[in-house]
Amino acid sequence: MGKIFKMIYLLSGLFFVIFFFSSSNILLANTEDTLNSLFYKANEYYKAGQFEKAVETYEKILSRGYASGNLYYNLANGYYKLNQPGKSLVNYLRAKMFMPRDPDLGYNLEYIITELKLEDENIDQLIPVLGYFTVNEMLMLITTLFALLVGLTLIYLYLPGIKKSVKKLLYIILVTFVLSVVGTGFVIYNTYHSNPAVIISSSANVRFEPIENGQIHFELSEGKIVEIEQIHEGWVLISDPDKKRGWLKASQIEPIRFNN
Amino acid sequence: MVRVKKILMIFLILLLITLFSTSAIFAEEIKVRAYVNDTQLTLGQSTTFTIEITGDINVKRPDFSIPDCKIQYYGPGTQISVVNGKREEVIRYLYSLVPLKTGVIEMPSIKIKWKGKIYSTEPFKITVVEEGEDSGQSLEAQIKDYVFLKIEIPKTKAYVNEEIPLTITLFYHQNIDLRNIHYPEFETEHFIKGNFLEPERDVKVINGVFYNTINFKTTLQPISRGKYSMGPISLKADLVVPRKNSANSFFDSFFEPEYDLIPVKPILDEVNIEVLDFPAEKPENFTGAIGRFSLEVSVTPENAKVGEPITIRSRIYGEGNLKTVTAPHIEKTTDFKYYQPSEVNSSSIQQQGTKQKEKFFEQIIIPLKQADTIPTISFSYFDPEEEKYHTITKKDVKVNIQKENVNSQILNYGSLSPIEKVEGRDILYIKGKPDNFRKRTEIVSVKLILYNGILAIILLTAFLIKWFLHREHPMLKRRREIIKTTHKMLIEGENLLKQGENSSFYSLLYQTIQNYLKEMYGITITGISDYEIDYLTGAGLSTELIKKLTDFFQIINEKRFAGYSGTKGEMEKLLVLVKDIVNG
Repeated sequence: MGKIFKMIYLLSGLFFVIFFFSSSNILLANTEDTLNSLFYKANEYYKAGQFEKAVETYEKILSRGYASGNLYYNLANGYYKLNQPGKSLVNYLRAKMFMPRDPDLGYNLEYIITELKLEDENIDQLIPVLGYFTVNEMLMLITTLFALLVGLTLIYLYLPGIKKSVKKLLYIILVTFVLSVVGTGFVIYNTYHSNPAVIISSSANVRFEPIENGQIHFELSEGKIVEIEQIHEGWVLISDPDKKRGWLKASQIEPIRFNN
Repeated sequence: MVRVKKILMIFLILLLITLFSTSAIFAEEIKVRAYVNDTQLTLGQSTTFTIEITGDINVKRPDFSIPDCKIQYYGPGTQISVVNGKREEVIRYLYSLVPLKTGVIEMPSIKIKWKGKIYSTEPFKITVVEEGEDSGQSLEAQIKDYVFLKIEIPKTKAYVNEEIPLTITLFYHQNIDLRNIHYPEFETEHFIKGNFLEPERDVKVINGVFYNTINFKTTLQPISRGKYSMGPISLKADLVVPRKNSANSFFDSFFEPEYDLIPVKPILDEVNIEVLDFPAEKPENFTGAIGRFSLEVSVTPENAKVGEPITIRSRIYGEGNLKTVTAPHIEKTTDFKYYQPSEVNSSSIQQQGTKQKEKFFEQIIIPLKQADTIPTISFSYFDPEEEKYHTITKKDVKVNIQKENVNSQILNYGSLSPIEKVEGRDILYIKGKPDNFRKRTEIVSVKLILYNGILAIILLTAFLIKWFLHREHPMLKRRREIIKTTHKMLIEGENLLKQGENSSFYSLLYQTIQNYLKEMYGITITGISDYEIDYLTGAGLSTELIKKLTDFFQIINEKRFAGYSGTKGEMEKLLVLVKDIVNG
């Protein structure tokens, strides 16, 4: 028994150490200032009408491996000012994954969808099914429920006097917790199992084969959303919402999620 | 008639006074000054004494004498130049001056008469020592009257964040060559030092000596209340000292410099500055601006519809610390939606001969209802000269907001109704502040996963502790298992009894008891003798139980020898006896 406890304490200690050193707050402690100053610098460029420099500076933050909702939003605005609505749309969609309820983002996204005549596309399908919350918000809910569950379980196990009164609540929390875990897991799977992308060139010829003079199958306009199925030597196999499939040049398309 | 004459007389007198005063104001003036090449002389050493008159080269040479000195006139030198379109005439009367005694000799003020007016030069002193006399001073001490610093600071009492202009002037004698002049250095622990402006060169005369000057201008901004010392202030430079006959040949002078560079570091003492905090009773929207400012507000577009963004552009300009100026406050009402203001640009402008600064802010608001004015805008600042707060308010700034004909995009966001594209729209402005950054490829927060891991460990630990505290003793568990096995055997015995399997029944009971005693007490018994009684007594069995065991073995051994014959009643009794023993 002593060995089991020792193992538990060791595991707990390991978790705390990993938590302490891998906490994004600690890691970002020194880089956050740099990222913030780049952000403000880019904003200054934007305000001065130097949209190319603004976009370049926003992209610099991204190239360092960090992102935020406001960053994607501003980047999208920058691309819009540079007359690249496709890249603007993709970045608004990325911003939506961080801040799905932001009204400014909603307005601009709706505006650009209208401008690109994409009203009939089901854009919301691309973002988590529970489009009103981010994955991390769902995780926070699960964590809260789990914490409640642990607390109630401890009461149930060690306070026999009030055991009966917490039993019902414990079961309710347990069921809610399980449903939340299942639901979030389903959402994460659905979300990250797919690989949506946006056409960023003014028009893109989709071919039967991944070669320059391959027969053109159909054409896609800027801003259209497709699903990436395969990547091969600078070409991308995509399928559109009508399930038509074909090959595009990788430079004509930009995936919405970076983890792919 | 008399009255008219009186009025005319008064008018004439006033006219004359005006004419004379005007002519006095515009009358030309001359400037006079006197100076020597060197104020530190040895007895008998000669120096040049100059009387300089600027403004008219026809001014006569003055008559004067200087006690304890021999004066000999060399001659005049004139100079006529045009500076910024203005003609400037300078005449210098040059004399040789030889002191006749050691000590401090006063150079008196020289009087010069010009156009009925007397002009006087500033008196000054020279120091005369014996030839060969060496004060034993260090280089620094020797040159301290030739190279030194002075500071100009308009106030030594200021408020937090108030910009205090500071001018540090380097003076060095006209006969001294200084190279590699650095900017002044000083500690500013409780102040923010501004950047130095481009240094300004000039020439000044102090105590009759010509000095070249360099002005270093900057600003100091105190950051906290208290009494502080700023400095000491120092400046590094290299003094050019000619070498004496260093070249051995004509050709050596090409390869070796004929001078040495000796580092010098004039130092200025500390300056005490008292920093005050802002007075209490600050205006509600005061955010720390200090200086004297004005506010201008404009709105674009002036005509808009409900739901369309309006930009309020504010210009704040004036004198003071522009860094402390933040966006003006706008009154919050439910008729508008407000976005964060952002600074557009700031600059320094020349206005009415004084250098002023300005800052521009833009703030977007979206009208939610019809309106003809925007909310009141105000800006508060503290004037350190008047030591008072001021609040500039702009009320009733006109704007024409009309009701929207179609549903506004902003108002209907979130509804499922189809939205019609509205002409003349644009995207909303960028976000002014960065959000919390996280790793781009991070799908879920690592911290949340770790929190859940810790909770799981706590839960597991709780269950384990609970199990540990309430678990059975191994012996009890073992006993329970043995009894369970024994009961199974007894159930089988019952079945054999029902089936009338006498032989198997008795064998099973015998085996059951033997097994039971072996597992429970570690003893294999075929019969009960004194040895077994002692053993079983020592194992904790009661006398009654030992008696039952004795009875059992007696019966079973009898049956074994009798060929396992017996009535059903006997068999049932034996089964009950075994059960009693096991349950004992």
